[in-house]
Amino acid sequence: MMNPPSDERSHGDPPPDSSEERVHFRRTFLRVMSVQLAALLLLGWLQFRYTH
Amino acid sequence: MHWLNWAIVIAYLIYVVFDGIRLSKGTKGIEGYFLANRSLPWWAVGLSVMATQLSAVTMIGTTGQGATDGLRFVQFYFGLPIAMVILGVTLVPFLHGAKVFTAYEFLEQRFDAKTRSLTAFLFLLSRGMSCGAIIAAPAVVFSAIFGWPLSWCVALIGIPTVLYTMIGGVQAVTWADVKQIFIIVGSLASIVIVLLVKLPVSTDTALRIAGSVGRMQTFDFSFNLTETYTFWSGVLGGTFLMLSYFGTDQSQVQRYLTARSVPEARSSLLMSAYWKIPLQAMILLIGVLVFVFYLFQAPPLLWNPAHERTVKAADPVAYATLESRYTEALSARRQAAMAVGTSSDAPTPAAGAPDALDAFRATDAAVTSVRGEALASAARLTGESSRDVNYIMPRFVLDQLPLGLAGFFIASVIAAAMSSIAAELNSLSTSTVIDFYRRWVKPEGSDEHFLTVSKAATAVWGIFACVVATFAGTLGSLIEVVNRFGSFFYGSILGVFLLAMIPRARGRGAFIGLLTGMGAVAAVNFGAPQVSFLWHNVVGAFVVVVVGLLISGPAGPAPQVARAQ
Repeated sequence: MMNPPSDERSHGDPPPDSSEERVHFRRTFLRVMSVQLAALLLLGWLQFRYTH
Repeated sequence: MHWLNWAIVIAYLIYVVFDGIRLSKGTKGIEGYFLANRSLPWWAVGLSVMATQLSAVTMIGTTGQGATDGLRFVQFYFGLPIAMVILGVTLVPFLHGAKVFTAYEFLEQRFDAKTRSLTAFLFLLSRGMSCGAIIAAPAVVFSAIFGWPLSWCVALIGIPTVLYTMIGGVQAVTWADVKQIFIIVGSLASIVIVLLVKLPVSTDTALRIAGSVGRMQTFDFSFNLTETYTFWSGVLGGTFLMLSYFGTDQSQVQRYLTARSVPEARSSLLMSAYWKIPLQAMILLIGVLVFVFYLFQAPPLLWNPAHERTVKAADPVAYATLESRYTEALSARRQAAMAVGTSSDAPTPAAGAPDALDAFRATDAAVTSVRGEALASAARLTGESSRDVNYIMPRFVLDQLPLGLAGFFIASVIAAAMSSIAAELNSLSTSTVIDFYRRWVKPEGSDEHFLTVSKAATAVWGIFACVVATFAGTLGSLIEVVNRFGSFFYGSILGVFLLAMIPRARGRGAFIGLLTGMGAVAAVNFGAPQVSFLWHNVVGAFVVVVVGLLISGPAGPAPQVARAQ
């Protein structure tokens, strides 16, 4: 149960991504950023319209 | 408060505890108790992450901040979507793939035991205290508003949370979070509807009035290191803070370690990336609308009822004089606000609007000035901070919301507090048992033994948090010291995790880098105290990576792969 004592260990390599997963993630990234951009534009418009 | 409102609050508390006990059936061993056997769907984990971030402070403090300061606080979250995406491709696959219980366990796999123990210890220290502060924030407000002893309010929030977290483990925490986020969002949405119905002017006019005194200003593009909420501190400092929080803080890491797979863990984090900024903007906007509402409805001179009573009792005549001046100033402001509404609704609104807005600004400044005198008296007489932002929303809810909705809001504040406290208790217990008890005290033991110890650890941390919350008033300075100390190592711990992803980094470099990073942040904090804390995380992470790589030396042959366990 115990971790063996050591000073230098593995790189904790992540499981490799499939190309399908990479494409899925890239699409999700673009969607997230689009939603954030839309939210920021809306907040910017509110500031522009109502701050005098 | 009406008995029906209390009935809603009590029904909610009973339901949460019984639901937690019902869900404890899935927790036979520590893998189930701490990680739900890594079986939870992404949407449940994602909602749990969001619920954990929405604490009672968000419900009562952030709405109050919206009322007094407007929308600009939302800039604090600009780095969150960026951080979530970065974590999705970097730390999440490492941590989920390493099949660990805690983020710090991964550091032993990658570096060494002392780096793991130090980071876990720093986590326990800061989160143990902050858990008490999370209970204390709403408890102090409830105590002042309902006139109850603080210990009762702490018990009302703390005991049910400790019970369902201790009995049900992460299963109960996550599924309770899912229900709690719907209660929280439902309550906020109902307040928006009530506000829109009750405002005597159109929404457009309301926003125009709010905008005239800066409440609609979101963006501040000035590059000022001493200003906490600017676009740049949000995007740069905020990204590092969110990377630290979601990537290295066990209370968050444990959420996505319960997901079925790496893609599901990523998706759960991206849910927050989608919703955090719009949700936070909505919460602040509620505060802005509450500000406009109280332009047409007389607000109290002091929002904190306990302070109001103290100031009134100390010198009733002086208070009556102050109140009379306040009423006059409010009346003038109300008329000026009405004039803005009339000029905005006129066929040619632009013609008279600027003068009306200037008049409104002047009357608003007069109201602020009278209130400033009352706040100064409250601070002098009570010896406490007179900042009463946290009392605006509860007073609005109790005075203005229809029967039933006030109880729903109080239940949602308790739900918000519970979701944050439960996640912290669960993660404190996990780190105590996995990083210290099983690692150093009793490496060999049955699953049943570790499960019993885990439940006991949850109870002990829960009692500790309740004690800290009960003595929050007297421990105020201590909590502040711990929080300040927390900002010393948040970015530095992130630096260690970043080092973990660089192949040539070694354990010695990580440990010395961590100590140097904390020292560098302390130097910035004491040498240049005017620098906003958001930049501390950038400094800490940067110093750890640079020093860690220098000490690790040039790239050598890759170390032998030897996964723990």
